[in-house]
Amino acid sequence: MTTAVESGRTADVIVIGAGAVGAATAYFAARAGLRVTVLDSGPLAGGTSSACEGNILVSDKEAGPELDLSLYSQKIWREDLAEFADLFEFESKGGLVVAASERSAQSLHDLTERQRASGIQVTNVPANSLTDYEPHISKKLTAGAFYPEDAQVQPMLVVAHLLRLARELGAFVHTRTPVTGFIRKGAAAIGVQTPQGDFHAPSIVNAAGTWAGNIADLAGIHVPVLPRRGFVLVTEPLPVTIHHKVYAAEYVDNVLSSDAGLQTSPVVEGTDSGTVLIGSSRERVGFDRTVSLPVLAALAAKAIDLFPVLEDIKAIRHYHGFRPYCPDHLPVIGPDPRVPGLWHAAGHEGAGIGLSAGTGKLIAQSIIGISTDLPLGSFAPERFEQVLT
Amino acid sequence: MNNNDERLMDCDGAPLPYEPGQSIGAALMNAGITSWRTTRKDGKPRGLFCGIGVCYDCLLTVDGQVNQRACVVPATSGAKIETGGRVLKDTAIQKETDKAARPEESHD
Amino acid sequence: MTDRVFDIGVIGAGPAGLAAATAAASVGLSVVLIDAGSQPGGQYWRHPDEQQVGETDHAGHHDWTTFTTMRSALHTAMEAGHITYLPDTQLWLIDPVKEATARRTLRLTNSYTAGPEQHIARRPTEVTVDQLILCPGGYDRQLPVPGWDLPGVMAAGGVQALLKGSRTVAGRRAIIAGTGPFLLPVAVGLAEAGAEVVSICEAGAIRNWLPHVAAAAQVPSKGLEGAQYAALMAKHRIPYRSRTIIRAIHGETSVEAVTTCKVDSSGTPIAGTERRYEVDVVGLGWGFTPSLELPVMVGAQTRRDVDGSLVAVVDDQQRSGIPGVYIAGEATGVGGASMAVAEGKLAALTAAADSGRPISPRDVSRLQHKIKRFRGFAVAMHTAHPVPEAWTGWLEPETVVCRCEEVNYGDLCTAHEELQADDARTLKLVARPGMGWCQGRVCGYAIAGIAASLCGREPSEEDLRSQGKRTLASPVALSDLAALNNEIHL
Ligand SMILES: Cc1cc2nc3c(=O)[nH]c(=O)nc-3n(C[C@H](O)[C@H](O)[C@H](O)COP(=O)(O)OP(=O)(O)OC[C@H]3O[C@@H](n4cnc5c(N)ncnc54)[C@H](O)[C@@H]3O)c2cc1C
Ligand SMILES: Cc1cc2nc3c(=O)[nH]c(=O)nc-3n(C[C@H](O)[C@H](O)[C@H](O)COP(=O)(O)OP(=O)(O)OC[C@H]3O[C@@H](n4cnc5c(N)ncnc54)[C@H](O)[C@@H]3O)c2cc1C
Ligand code: FES
Repeated sequence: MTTAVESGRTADVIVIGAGAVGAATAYFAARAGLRVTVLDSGPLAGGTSSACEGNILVSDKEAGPELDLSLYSQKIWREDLAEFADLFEFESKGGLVVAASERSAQSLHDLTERQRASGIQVTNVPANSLTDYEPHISKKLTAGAFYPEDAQVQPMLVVAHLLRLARELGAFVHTRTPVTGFIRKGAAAIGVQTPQGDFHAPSIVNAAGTWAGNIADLAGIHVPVLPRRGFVLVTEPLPVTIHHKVYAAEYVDNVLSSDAGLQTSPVVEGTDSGTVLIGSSRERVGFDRTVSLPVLAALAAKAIDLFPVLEDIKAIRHYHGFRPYCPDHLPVIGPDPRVPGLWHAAGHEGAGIGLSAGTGKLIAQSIIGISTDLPLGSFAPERFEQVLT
Repeated sequence: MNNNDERLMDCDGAPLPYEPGQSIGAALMNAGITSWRTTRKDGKPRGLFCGIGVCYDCLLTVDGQVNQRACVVPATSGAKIETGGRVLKDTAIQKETDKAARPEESHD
Repeated sequence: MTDRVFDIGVIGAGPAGLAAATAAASVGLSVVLIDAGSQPGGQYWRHPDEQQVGETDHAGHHDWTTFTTMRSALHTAMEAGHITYLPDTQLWLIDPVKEATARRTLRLTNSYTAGPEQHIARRPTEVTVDQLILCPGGYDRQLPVPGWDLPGVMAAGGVQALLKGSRTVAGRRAIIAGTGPFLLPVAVGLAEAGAEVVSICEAGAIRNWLPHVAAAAQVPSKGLEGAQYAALMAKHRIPYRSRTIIRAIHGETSVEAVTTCKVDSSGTPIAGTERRYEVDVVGLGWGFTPSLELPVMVGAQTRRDVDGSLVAVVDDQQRSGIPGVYIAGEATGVGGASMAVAEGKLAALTAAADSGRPISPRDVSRLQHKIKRFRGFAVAMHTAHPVPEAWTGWLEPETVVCRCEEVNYGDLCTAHEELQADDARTLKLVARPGMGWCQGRVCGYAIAGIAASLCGREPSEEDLRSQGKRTLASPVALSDLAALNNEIHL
C-alpha cells in the first residue's frame, strides 16, 4: 500500500521544476536528510536544461555576486559532486578566449587583469602560442587567454543522475505533474495543487526556470523572469578537433549586455560524442520557436572564422532554448518574505547549468535554517518590488 | 582507352571496376567489398544498409569530398575513393589532431 | 542570387510528387519540382541512370506506363517553362512563412558533392514559393535484432534499390525477413538475378497468402498476377515461412549465418523451433515508415497511423492545416504507389482551387473515391502484417539499437530503470539514440516502441514525434550556411 508520505504527497520540501537547478536542489535537500518531492509539468530535463550547452564557466564573469556564486559552484562541482563527475561527463577542459583585433586584444588583456584580481585563474596566451592549445585555430587572431577552471558537463545527464541520487536518498520525482496553484495558510504556502492532486510541504522551491515567473504569479507575487532565446548548431561527429571551449572575446560583452537585439558570438566546443557545438545567440523575442536562418548563418560564419577547418564540416541539426533572465541579470535565490514557505531558485540566464550545483546547496542550507555558505542578499527575490515602487 | 579502362575507379590505390549506372556502393559490393569504414566507438565495420541515402552507414571519401554516401553517388570514371571514414579534408592536419596531446596547462 | 518565385514548390519526384507537379502545371501553375534523386520516379520507379545505360526495357516494371506518361508530361511542361525540375537537390530547410508576401523560401543544397559533373553542377540554393506540396515518401521500417549491424545485412528496400537502380545483386545466398507483401518482390528480384533465396520469413500468420499478398505487392520489377507470382516462387524454390522471424544474425566481419525461429501470435519466440541458415545477405523490412521532418518543420499535425508509424494529418483534400501546405504520398500514411499518385493529383487540384483557379469538382470527388478505396486496402494490409507486439523481447542487452551512436538495448534499459527516462525523447536525451548521422531515421520507430514497452504502455504520438522531428532536413555544410550570412537581412 502506498501511503501519502511514500508517494511524496507529504514532504519536507516540494521542488517545482526538474531542470538542473531543481535537480541540484532536490539532491542537496535530500542529502541534508529532508524528504523531497519534485514535480515537473513535463518529462525530466524538458525545459532549458536540455536546450543548452553545459558549460561551467568562470571566464565570462566579472567581479560581483555572480562571480562569487560561480566560484562557489565550481567548488561544489569539484568537491561535493566530484565522485559523480564521470556520470555526467564532467570534464575540466579549460576555456580559451580569443581576440581578433588589436583593440579587442587590449580589452581582453584588461579583463584578465581584473579577473585575476578577483580570484579567477587565467593565463594570457600570445597569438603565436594559440596553436599550442588549439592546432586548428585561425592564424589571424591577435591574442588569447586560457582559463583552466572552465569545465563542461552533459546537462541532461546532470539532471537525470542528480534526481536518481536524490531518489536513492528517498526523494520522489513526479513528471507530467504541472503545478497549477498554491495551497495557502494565511500568507504562507503549505502545498501545491496539480491535476494529479495536492502535495503538501512546509517548504516549496520554485525552480521553474524560464517559467518561474508564472509560478510566482500563482503565488500572487511578482518575480520577473523572462526568456532570452539562443540557438546552437550541432555538427556531424568528428575525431577530436577542438580541445577546449573556444570563444571570441566579444562573447563576454554579449553575456553582460542588456541589449534586446540579436547578438551572436561564437562559442565552439567539442563534446564527448564527437559533435562540435556552435553556440550561441542571444536575443529577446519572447518564446518564439520559429527558426532564424540569419542566426544560424551568423553562427556558422563566425565559427569558421575561429576554425577555418570547420568550413566543409556539416551541421546535422540545430536547437534552441530560452535562457531565464531577470532584468538585472542576477538569479533569484532564497526565501520570499512575501510568501513564507516559498523559496525561489531561478533566473540563472546563460549559466544555470554551471550555477545549479551551488544554487542547490545554498537553497538546502537556507531551508534547513543554517547560515548559507554565501550571502544571498544580492539574489533576494523581492528586490524587484523596490525597483517598481 | 577502351571502354573497360574507362570504367575504372581508384579505391585506396587499387583499381575498382564499375558497370554503367552503378552507385559507388554497388560497385564496391560487386567487387565483394561489403564494408569500408569502422564506427567511432566500437570500431565495427559498416557498408551499405538502407541503400537509399538515409542511414549514413556507407560514408566514404570521393575525390577529396569527405562523408559522401556510397549508395547515392554514381560511379564515374577515374573517381578517387578513400575508405576508412576520414573526416577532415586535410589528412596531415587530421593526423596531427589525432595525436595532439592536450597542451600542458600551466598557470602562474 | 536572383529571385526565383514559383506558384508551387513540390518536394519529391516519386509517384506522389510527379503526379502533383504535372497536375499543377496542367492547370496553369508555375511549379518547381525538387528531388534529392538523380532521376524522377522516387523509390517505386527507381531505375538505372538512363544517361549511362540508355532507355531500358521496363516492360516488366509494374505501372511503368503510368510513370512514362507522367514523365512525358514532366518533360513537356519543362519545355514549356511550366515546371522547373531540380534533381540531385536536397531541401534542407523551409523558412518560416514571410508575413509580407505569405511566401516561403526553400533552402537547397546538392544531394552530394562528388561524382559525375552533371550531378554536382551548382544549382540554385534557394527558391521561393506561394504554396508547397510535400511528397517526401519514406523508407524501410526497421526493428533491431542481434547482429543486424553486420555488413551484408540490409534494408529489404535497399536490396531492391541496388537491384533496380544499380542492377547489382547484394550477395549469393539471401534470406529476407520482416513482414508485409514487399518481402516478395525483393526475394523474387534476387532470385531472378541469380541469387539463392533460402527463405522468406514473414512474422505474421498469413492464410491464403499468395493471391492476397501478391496483389498487394504491386511488384514493380515484375508486374505479375498472384498466380504467376506463385509460379515464380515455386520456380526458384523460395520457401515462404509465416510466423517466423530472424532471431539472431551471426558473423565476424560480415554476415555468415542467421538463426530463425517460430513465434506465437504476440511475436514471442517458441523454444525449440530454431533453424540455422548460412547466408551472405539478409534483407530486413517491417513495412515502410514515412519521412516526416518536412511536415513537422512546417508545423503540420501528426498522428499514429494504424500501422503504428507517425504520419501527417491531412483533410480529405490533402490540406495539412497549415495554410498553403499540402501533403501527399507515404507521408500521409503508407499505402503504395497508386495511392500516392492519386493523392499527389488531388493535392495539386486543391492547391489550385485554394489559389483561385477553376478546377473540376468531379475530378476531385473521383480522386477522393479512389484514395478511399486504396486506403481501405492499405488498412487491411497493415492489419494483416502488424509489427509483433512482443518484438522488444527479441533484443539482448548488447543488441545495437541506434547504429549511428552505437547505443545498445541495455543502455536504454538502464536509462529507463535508473534515470527515469519514461518516453522516447528522454531516452534520446540521456542515452543518445537518434542523435547521430541519420537523426533517428533508422532507429526512431524502434526507440518509440522500446520506450513504450519499458513503461508497459503503447507508443504514443509524442514518442514518435520526438524521433520524427529534425530541425535540418539534411546535413548542410557550414560554409553553405555561412554564405547566407551576407545575403539575408534580419
Ligand atoms: C542556447 C543556450 C545555451 C546555454 N548554454 C549554457 C551553458 O553553456 N552553461 C550554462 O550553465 N547554462 C547555459 N544555458 C543556460 C541554462 O540552460 C539555463 O540557465 C538552465 O538550464 C536553467 O535551468 P533551470 O533548472 O532553472 O530551468 P529548466 O531546465 O528550464 O527547468 C525548469 C523546469 O520547470 C518546469 N516547469 C515549468 N512550469 C512548471 C509548472 N507549472 N509546474 C511544474 N513544472 C514546471 C519545466 O517543465 C522545466 O522542466 C544556456 C541556455 C541556452 C538557451
Ligand atoms: C527503398 C524502397 C524501395 C521500395 N520498393 C518498392 C517496390 O519495389 N514495390 C513497391 O510496391 N513499393 C516499393 N516501395 C514503396 C514505395 O516507395 C512507395 O509506395 C511509393 O514510392 C511512395 O511514393 P511517394 O511519392 O510517396 O514517395 P517516394 O517514392 O519515396 O518519393 C519521395 C521522393 O522525395 C524525395 N525527398 C524526400 N525528402 C526530400 C528533401 N528534403 N529534399 C529533396 N527531395 C526529397 C526522395 O528523394 C524521393 O525521391 C519502396 C520503398 C522504399 C523506401
Ligand atoms: S546505405 Fe544508407 S545512406 Fe548509404
